[in-house]
Amino acid sequence: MIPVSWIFALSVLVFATGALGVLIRKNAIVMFLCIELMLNGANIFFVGVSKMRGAAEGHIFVLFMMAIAAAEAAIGMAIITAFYRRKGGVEVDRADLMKW
Amino acid sequence: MLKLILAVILIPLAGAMINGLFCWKTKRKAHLIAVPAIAIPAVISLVLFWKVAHGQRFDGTFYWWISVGNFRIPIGFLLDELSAVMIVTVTFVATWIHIYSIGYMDHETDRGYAKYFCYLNFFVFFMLTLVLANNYLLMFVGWEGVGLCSYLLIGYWYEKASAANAGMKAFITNRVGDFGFMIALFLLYKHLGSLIYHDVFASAHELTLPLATLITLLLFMGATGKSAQIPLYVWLPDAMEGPTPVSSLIHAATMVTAGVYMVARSHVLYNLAPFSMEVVASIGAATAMFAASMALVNNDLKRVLAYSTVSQLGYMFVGVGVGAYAAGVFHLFTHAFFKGLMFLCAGSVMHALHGELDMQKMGGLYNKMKITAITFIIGALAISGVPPLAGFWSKDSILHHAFVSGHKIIWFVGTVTAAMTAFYMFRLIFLTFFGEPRDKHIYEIAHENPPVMTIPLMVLAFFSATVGLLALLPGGGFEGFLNRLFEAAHHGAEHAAHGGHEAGGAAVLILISVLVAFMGIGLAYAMYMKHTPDPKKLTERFRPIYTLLYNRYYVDELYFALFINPTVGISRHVLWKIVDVLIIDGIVNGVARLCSLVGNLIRKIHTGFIPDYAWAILVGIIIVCGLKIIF
Amino acid sequence: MGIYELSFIAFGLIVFLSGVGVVALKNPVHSALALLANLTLTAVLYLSYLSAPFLGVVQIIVYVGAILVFILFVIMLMNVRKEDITETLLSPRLLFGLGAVVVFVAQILALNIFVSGSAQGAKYIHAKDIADLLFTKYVLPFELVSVLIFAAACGAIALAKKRM
Repeated sequence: MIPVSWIFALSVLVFATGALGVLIRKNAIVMFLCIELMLNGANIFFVGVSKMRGAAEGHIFVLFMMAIAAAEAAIGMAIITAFYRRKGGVEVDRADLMKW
Repeated sequence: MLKLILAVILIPLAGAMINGLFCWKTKRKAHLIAVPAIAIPAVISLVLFWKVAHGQRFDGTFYWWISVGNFRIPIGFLLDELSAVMIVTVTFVATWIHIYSIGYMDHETDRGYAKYFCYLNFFVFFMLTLVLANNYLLMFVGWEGVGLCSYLLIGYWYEKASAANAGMKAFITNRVGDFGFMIALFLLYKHLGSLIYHDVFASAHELTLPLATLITLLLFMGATGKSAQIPLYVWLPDAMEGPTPVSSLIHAATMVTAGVYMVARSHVLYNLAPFSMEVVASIGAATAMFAASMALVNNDLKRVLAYSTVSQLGYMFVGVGVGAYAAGVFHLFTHAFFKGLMFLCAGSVMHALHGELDMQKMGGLYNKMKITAITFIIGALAISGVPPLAGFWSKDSILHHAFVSGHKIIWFVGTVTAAMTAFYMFRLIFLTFFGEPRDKHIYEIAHENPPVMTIPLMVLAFFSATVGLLALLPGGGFEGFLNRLFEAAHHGAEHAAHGGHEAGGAAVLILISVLVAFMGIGLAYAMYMKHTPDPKKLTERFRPIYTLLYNRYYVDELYFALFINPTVGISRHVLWKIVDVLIIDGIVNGVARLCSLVGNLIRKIHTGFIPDYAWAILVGIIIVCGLKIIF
Repeated sequence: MGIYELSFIAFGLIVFLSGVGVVALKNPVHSALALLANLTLTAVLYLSYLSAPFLGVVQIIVYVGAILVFILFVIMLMNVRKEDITETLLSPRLLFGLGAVVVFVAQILALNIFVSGSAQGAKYIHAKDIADLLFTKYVLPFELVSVLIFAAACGAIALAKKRM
């Protein structure tokens, strides 16, 4: 049998990778992909808990998170397209209106 | 009873609110609201007076206004003999003055008309609060409120610089007195733990003699401001810049007597402090004489009356100062009628002459304005102390009490002042209403005023002539009624309780005071009708005295040199240039600079680069997790 | 350690590496393809190791079939050329980022939330089990999520309008 901590370790690693991506990448779309990666890591965690407990609650949350990820994707892509149209690129350092 | 008291207080307030908030709507019809708003309380006051006369009293709390730990101040009302007399006087005189104002103010703009009535109702509201309060703090609210209304009404024609300045002068002078009043309240609260009359008077005997003296002197300092006594009387003559009915209501009949009321109300405290009583009586006598002497030579119709008011207030303080509280309040009561009447007459003359106040330009107006002249003469006879008119009874009672209580000097001063009063009043009458017209143009335009102005004159003249007879009622008359309150408090320490007219030497005293009144009148007649001795020659002969009196003893100039100019100088050169510009502005600008400095440093955090914000989030998470691990 | 456990380690490593690929690849299209791999492999993980067949299928349909295709479509719309990609990944930022993430992982480990014990036997959770809960206990959040998606759709339309 697989120790449950392995599953958790995998989820944390995936999550951390995603976080690293958000921190170091400048391309807005890639940042967005990294956020999806983080969500995916969290999903693995939930399913792992569900597996350990033998309960279906974790799956419910995963379903909700997918729905929210879909909503986020719609909004995020809309923002990115609007941003691209305005600034001619998707690098986040082009957004400097709020800079001091 | 509480409901009736509340009605008396709140109806004028409602009138003021309606006229104040809807002045663009009420306009010319403002008096339709304002007059009933005073007349109804006047009727209710009579009902309350009737109840008090039959032995009922009221002392109750309507609402706890301030309640912080042990410091509890109610909005509560006290209705006893003293406050019953006061509310009847205030509402009755105010009603007729309101009616008179309809005629007097008819040249005003629409807004100004409504504003005037709003202030007037507001004033009555505060005055009733002052006299009906059952604790010192609520009384102080009324005290300040009438001061505010006085300021607003003196400065009613605020476009005129002199009116605006007179308003400020009144207000600031009163502040000086209020300063003493407030300290007295602080001391009372500190040592007795309450400001409610009932508690204060019940525990007043715990005060040591120096403390009681200090408190009563400070209270009297407040009274000198409000009631225009030496040294704070200077504002009252200038207050004549306001409309004449205002002078009549506020600066003759009601507000200025608040100080007398306050001293009478605090009689329990004053009885504990004989020295304060002496001070009150002495200041009162000095003021009476001092003000009367200035009235002798003044040529301004209203200012003569103003000095006369100051002088009569001095009499009232003599009354309360020698322990004859009832006599003082009786004089307050009669004075409200005849001085209110005379001011209204002066206003009538002024209205007829389009604002002319200089007596030198008048003369012979009797032929044109018979009602005004006759009512004025009744008022003047009353104030001069000619029996059986009102002033005779009250003034004579005060002088009598002063004499029998051993204040011979004060009695002498009062008697001389009575002669001066009679003289300057009839000088005023002869110059204004009799003799040859000295200014043809003014004489031409003079006319009698419409009934809306003359009827109040007649009513007040009737009462000026007759209210004195209340002294003859069974049971000690008016003073006996009041003494039910004053004597209950201090076990018959009052001198010569029942009017004193039946006492041994009383007849002589009465004779003297009547005699001096007629002497004053006769002298005025000789000088200003027969010109023997000719006033002009007398003026020449006593030029220095005349100049001194005419310039009002240079007191205003003295105050300017002593207080106002140094204050202005220090304000300008020290407070403005150094304290304000350097210190206060420095602090304010320094705080602003500090903020922008810190902002300049901190705004570097806002890079506007999105991953940096993600960094902030991650660092935050790490810190939170770290705390979770540590703890 | 049997073949089953070894296979999980290998599989997990692939999942992790595909995640690293998302971060490390310069071209956004390549990143998206790495994410595609990651998501698909996660779906397989659900099916094979975590006894969650329904979620695995939904993962494929929603994530891969809808979201990722959508993102790829937007990337194509941007028409990214090779010479536009100026990003340099090897920078001090990377070092700091790695440091922070390592600290974070270490903290998670130190938090000791890993309850020891193993994934229990092959109790599969099917669509019926999920539906039983979703439409009874969690029906209100479910409806709220539908409202959220509707709002997101409206927002996306508003944002993507020509004049903004």
